[in-house]
Amino acid sequence: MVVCDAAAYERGVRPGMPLAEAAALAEHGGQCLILPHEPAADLAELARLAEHCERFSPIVGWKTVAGSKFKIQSSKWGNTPSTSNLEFGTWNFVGPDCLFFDVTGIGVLFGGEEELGRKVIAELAGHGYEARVAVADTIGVAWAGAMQTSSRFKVQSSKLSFACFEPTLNFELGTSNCEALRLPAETVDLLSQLGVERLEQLLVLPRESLRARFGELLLLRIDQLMGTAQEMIVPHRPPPQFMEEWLLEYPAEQRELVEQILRELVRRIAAALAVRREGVLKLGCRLDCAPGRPILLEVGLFRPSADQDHLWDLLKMQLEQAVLPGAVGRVRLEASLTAALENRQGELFAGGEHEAQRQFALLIDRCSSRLGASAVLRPELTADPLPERAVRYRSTKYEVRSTKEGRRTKQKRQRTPDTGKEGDRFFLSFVLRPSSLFWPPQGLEVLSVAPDGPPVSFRLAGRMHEVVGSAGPERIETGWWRGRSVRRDYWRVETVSGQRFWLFRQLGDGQWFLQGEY
Amino acid sequence: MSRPPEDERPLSTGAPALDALLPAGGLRRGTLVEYLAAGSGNGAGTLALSAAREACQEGRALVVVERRSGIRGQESGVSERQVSRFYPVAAAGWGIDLAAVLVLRPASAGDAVWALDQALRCRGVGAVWAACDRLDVRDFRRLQLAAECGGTVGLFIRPARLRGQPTWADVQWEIKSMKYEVRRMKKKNSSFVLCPSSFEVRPWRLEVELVRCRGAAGGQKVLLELDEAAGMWREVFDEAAHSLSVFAPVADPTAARRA
Repeated sequence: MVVCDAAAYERGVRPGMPLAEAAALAEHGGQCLILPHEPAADLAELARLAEHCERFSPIVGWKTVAGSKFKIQSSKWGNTPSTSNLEFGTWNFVGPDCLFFDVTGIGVLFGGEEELGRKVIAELAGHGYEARVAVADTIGVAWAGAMQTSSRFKVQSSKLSFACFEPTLNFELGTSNCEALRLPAETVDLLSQLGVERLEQLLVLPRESLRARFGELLLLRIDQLMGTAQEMIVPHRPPPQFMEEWLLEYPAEQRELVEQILRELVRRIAAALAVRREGVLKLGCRLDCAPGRPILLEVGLFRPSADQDHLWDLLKMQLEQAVLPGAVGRVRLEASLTAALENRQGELFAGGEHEAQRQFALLIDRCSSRLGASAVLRPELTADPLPERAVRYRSTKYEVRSTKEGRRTKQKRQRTPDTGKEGDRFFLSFVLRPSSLFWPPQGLEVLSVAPDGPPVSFRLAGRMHEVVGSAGPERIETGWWRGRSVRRDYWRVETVSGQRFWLFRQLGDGQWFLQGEY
Repeated sequence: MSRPPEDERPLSTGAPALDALLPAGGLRRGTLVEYLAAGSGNGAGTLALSAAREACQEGRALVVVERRSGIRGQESGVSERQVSRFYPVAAAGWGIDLAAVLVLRPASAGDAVWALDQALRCRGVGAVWAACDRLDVRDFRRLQLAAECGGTVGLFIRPARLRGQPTWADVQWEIKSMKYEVRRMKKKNSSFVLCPSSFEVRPWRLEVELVRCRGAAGGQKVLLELDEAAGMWREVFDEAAHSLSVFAPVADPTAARRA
């Protein structure tokens, strides 16, 4: 006896009873219908329902897996995700009977999360199923909410508030049973024997004793409920992986042959991607050589591209620098990260801003590929007044640029240089900052009149420079909370020969340094 | 090769006085420009930045190529360990949008030439700013062809000792800073030294000479002064205002001495 409806429950039938006993009890009250339990058919039906529900969310599944996201999506070379991590979405022994939807940000499209929930109920009712829906921040809370039998539909957009180290749940959730934690039945029994019935009682118990008594699973469930442990839904239709492989009967030693093979694999992947209108962001290549370790090449792109010539160019640059230790037996190419291609309307006149941006993205790709990703940087102004920290260099990565942003940056450029920039960035006019910075700053011998006064002359590269004019001091200090305190007085000096330098005196020890030149 | 019509418009160098010296009325896209300067602190980098600002309008990017270990060698007086880096804050001050700036840091000289070649060849780039000392003639020719192909302006800051050597750049400027004529006078009965006054009133002056230019005779000199309020370089004509008197207690009272 696996499941029974409310009427049979009233007659005394309980799940887990032997069939004969259950049939006797049920028929005692009146007519009853007994159907065989077919778990395979149930699963197939659930899959069909999940497919229908894909109109609500791109990720629909009945299995969840703990841990970080990348365990599912990326394929470690040669391994498939181990099935020991996968768990069924139900905690009775029957089989999965619930579907998890990832609705992050999707509520807006349906007019609110409540509306989305109602639509899901309506959709499932159309298939002849009665559904209970709960929407929450974590899978654990949503499952607990849906298991409440009191209401047919409940939305809990709960923000679990934390006070010190004790989480305090909102009232409703705290009073739900421990069964809402997706634990096996014996754990729940043991908890109830110990007198722990409700979640709030469970959460105040110390974690170490729970771990000693019940093992890791209980703690994992609590963490997943609170949101401290990650839990991802395994979509029933996983996103396609773009991987092409070529096995050679006789290992190839010539580089040209390997290049030809790679070229063909790139063509295949590009064709597969083009069908889905997606482009590659990261391309990984693995060459298995007979004696040594396999060679791994990776190509990262700034903008997703499905252009096989461009991808081949980048891969070739990396391949040229790789040394093949022996004959290559297997070649494998995988597009590990993909993104949708940006659609561009063709323009009548070649050129224009889109073309310029596209070419710039290709330049970034090529340079990153040959010089390394750490050698291709974009500067960014920070709010730090210290000159060496005023600019932060970020390596280039893919970001979606909307056309509105492109227009706005064009307008910015036409401003005169004296107007300030908005935000908390530290903007200075071009007069105050040199065009070249020395890092690390070079120590100088400086003669100055007053202890805090301007420099009069200094020795640089064996020559004595006499200062004719100086402007300053400009005091730049960092807060003590940023680490070692730095206090400097900066002077812009002009020497007799007309050269302009930027010096500073460190206030702690009075040492002078050369920071930049104009 | 055919280029779209907007590429034919000449670019300003950042100073109208310099534009007037050039036959096209400005820099042409697809060419290389050299800024020669002796020593450091001569304003070559700053002048190049004002030209870069003009070249990077209309959504084009500025690419800066600097060697990781520092390009400037012994001649500027900086030891090899010090790295003289392009400072983006100055570029931002000149009005160049940092979102359109790309900094490339190749590790070797060969990679640096390759990076310059690729950057010059790209149509999405407006100007390439690089400080390079040594450049092989063949590499130079390769860069010039790349600039022509991509329609970008290459702004190279190079040491002044290369003046006179064969070059593939269309325009070559030599930039010198204006020396001060110092008159040292002895002041009697003075026991203190007058400090040099702050020079807020004394704007920055550079002497720029057009060494060579394709299609025009070289050799003209122009005195430029930085107009801080307007953000541009203005031409000045009188040199006399550039002297100053400094009182200093020197032992031998020489009347006038050129520094």
